[in-house]
Amino acid sequence: TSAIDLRTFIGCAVREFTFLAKKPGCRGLRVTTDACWGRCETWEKPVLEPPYIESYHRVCTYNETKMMTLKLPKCAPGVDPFYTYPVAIRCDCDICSTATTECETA
Amino acid sequence: ALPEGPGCRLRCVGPAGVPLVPGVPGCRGGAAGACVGHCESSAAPSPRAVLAASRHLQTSRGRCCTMAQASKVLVTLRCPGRARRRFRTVSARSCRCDLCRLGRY
Repeated sequence: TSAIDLRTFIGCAVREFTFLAKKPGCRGLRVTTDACWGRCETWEKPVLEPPYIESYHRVCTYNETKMMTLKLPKCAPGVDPFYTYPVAIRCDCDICSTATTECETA
Repeated sequence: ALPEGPGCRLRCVGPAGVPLVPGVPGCRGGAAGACVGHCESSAAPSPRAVLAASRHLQTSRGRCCTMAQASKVLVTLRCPGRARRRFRTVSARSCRCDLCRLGRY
């Protein structure tokens, strides 16, 4: 089998991601889950009418998710120990949806 | 067709026979620089600072192919009846993976 070479990969893929699930009052928990990563087709081209530039900008983002909830360890009394995070089922090059997503650029 | 592989590259668009933009019926020619390519982006569970501020459970980070430097140009198109018409536009001089125009979708 041939491994995908990340240095040259283009497209948008589900890819493993590890992070520390933490909230104040609880111990942290290392979590490995599926997230999205890739390189999407993007361009800026001249056009003949104002504003003279046409942009096509898409980012690799979640297309379909399921939510997972885990219980953080050793939480202080009165602190909700449950932590919910998204798991990528499918990722696609698309517009970042500000309704569901914190959209950051550059 | 886009160039293969990662990176945001300068490409000449509108060689003879390929209009820069539809809507100038019958006119051909003109050439200017565009930026085309594939830039890195990702989406993942939000870090704590984002969760506290916006409550969005997922965060997307991305860069997009943009014109880093560009100049205003006049391009000459060959139109029916051997007429030549000049149009203002912008021509890219260099390209860079940079800020995505999120508001321009």
